[in-house]
Amino acid sequence: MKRVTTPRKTSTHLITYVMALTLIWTSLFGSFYSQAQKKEGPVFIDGFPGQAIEVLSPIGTTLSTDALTDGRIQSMSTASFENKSLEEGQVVSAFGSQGPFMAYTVHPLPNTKDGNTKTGDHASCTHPSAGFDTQLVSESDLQKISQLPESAETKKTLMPSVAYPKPSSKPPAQPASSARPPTQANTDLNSSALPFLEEFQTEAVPSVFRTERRANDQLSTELEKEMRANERQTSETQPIDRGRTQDLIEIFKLSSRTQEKAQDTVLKERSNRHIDATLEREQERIREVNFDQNQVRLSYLEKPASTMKSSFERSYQESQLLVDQLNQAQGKLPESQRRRYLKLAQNAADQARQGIETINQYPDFFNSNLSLSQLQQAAKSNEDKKAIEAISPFIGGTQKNEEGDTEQALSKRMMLFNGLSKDQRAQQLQSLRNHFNLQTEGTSSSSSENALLHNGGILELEEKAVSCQRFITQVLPVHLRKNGLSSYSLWGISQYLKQGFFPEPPQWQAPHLEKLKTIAPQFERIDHERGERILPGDLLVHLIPGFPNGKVYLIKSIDLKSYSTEVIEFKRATKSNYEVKSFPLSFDPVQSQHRFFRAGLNFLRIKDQLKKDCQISMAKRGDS
Amino acid sequence: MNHIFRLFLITLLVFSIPMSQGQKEAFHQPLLFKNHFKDPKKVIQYYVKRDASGFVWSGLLEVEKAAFTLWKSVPENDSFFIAKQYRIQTPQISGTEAKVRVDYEILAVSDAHGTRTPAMVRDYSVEFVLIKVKGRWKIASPGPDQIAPVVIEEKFSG
Repeated sequence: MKRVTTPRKTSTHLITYVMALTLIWTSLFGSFYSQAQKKEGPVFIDGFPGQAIEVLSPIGTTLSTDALTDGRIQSMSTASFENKSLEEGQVVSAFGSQGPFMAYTVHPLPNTKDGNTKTGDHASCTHPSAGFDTQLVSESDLQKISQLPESAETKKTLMPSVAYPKPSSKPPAQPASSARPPTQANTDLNSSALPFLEEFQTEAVPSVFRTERRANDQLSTELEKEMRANERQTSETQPIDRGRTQDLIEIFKLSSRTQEKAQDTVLKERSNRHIDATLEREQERIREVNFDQNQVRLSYLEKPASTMKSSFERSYQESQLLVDQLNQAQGKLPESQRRRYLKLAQNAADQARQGIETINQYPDFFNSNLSLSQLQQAAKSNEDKKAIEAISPFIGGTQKNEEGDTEQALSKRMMLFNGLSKDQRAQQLQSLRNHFNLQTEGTSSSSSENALLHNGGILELEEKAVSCQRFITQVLPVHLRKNGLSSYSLWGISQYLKQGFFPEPPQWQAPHLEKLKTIAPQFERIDHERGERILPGDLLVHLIPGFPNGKVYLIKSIDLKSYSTEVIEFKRATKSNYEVKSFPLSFDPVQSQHRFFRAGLNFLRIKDQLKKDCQISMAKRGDS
Repeated sequence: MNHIFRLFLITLLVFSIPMSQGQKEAFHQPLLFKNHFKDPKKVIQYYVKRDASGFVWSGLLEVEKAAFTLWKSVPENDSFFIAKQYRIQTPQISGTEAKVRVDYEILAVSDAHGTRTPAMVRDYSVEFVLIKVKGRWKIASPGPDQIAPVVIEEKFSG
């Protein structure tokens, strides 16, 4: 029988269909569309006459500016507009499409019209979606700024993030005019630490590192000018004690240098103390993990060999049970940790299964009531030696110490722990230092059956505060960082501090984002492109979005002359668990007149890292 | 009869949802302590499957490094590619050296928290060079610092 469709029914179906389509369209594309709308907009670039502009953008981004050129970024690299330079008093706006710009730098052009090398300060620029600062300049603001007098400081007050110093005909004499006003923490550091690097004194200093001229230097210059003026005026009337005035200037300079050096020494000491304390904390973490490893492992060496098979069988069953529990534990554990423990439990079950197979290959050896230690001492036949060698990967041989700070060791530790009886596990937990309980339905929080062992702290489980040094030991080793605060997390914090929001893309998972928002304000972002000072003890997050090779280093020393740093990388392959390596900040030749920073540099400083009782709070304000 | 058929369908649907979810989570390339493979492609298959099933969360174990590679250290990355699929090409063997190329179709870059970023590359190929040592094929290159982990989308969203 043919179904008859009435017009009313058809219209109802049509409305429902359209509504459904609208709903789907809105949910799928609405957010993208609104984001795309948000990201469109002008990029304001300020600078001095003669400066060249470099833009680092994602592939496909279109850049059009009034004064420069139309350009499309062809690759994930810098696009330099060196042939185009800003004119005097010019404000440049650029419009971005297809996603946010990533970085903008206005570099000084090395050669000016008069042929001299100009080392004026770098300038800044911003973008409403992904620019360096969060403030957007309106047209009216721009007009107000252009009407203001010459003082750049006045303009900065109006618009601190985007300074538009209308340059005079002279080259910029005060590099600080376009530098971002330092934050409170920065002020403290800068005030005491500016003379830290003698390189600032030389002419060869890269302009981007230029910071404020010291007041003392200015004073000396003024004194010098005054002296010359006085000399001219009075040379005919009275003799000048030129030597005495010169001496006074030198003494003044010397005393200011001495004071600065003393302050700098204190800063250096504090930074080094912070680094030493971090390394010490890392060694402590490793010692604790090794202790746990050997605590669990040695209990097997003292067990009769005949009990080994039943232990491995129990371990296999318990590990499988843990896999099931973790599969059902979504939301009860941070997702990154749940996935990680799922893999570890699966690996533990695999190890137990292969352990049983190995034991089955040597039935006589594993029938003995002697312990493995005793059997090793008594082993004479090749068969016994083979059996000991075969079981070694599962228990770790008979040596007393075994490294515990590897994924293999943790997986093994979990496998061996799961093979213990309930009472033995409860007993072990009393002495183990790194474990927590997986809360599942029908189990008590103190149950030894749900204990998960780990390699030293899980930041996401921390409820209160951790010491800064401990915090760093959780974000530097890759095996801890990948499930804790990854390089993307730290990059996100850096962007958040720069812009006031987390950029999208990437897509952030809500719980993780909340955690990052809690942690972020305890950091300070060092804007190296604006000449803010990088200190030993700062974190260097090297990441180019879109690639899976982010790194996090602890800065040990900086040489601004050669654009290089010495960084500490926590690496398990090394004997001391960390290595110091050189990390160049630029790939341009040292002889090059101007050198650009390499892409992907982000510097973070824990605000209180130079204080003795520095802590990072893991909970929101008001949380217990 | 119609009712029985409907009941059957509902029962099938109810049971198929948790089954399919369970299967997705349970996908796990078992860990091997020993390299039994005589074909270089099998070695790469094992490595790629372990990678794809998500060992990035626990990491390549030292025992696997010793059995399947000539590397001095294990790869250490805190983020990874998400691929839609991969294809292992036929190996080119010459004496004790073999080359096996793996082509991935990349969707995004992510980390353990699910922070998902559009990848800068769509097609990603890795040419593994294997050397035969004592009758076993082992991965010589790329090195642990040059290789990026790849997780399959299906597993990642599982």
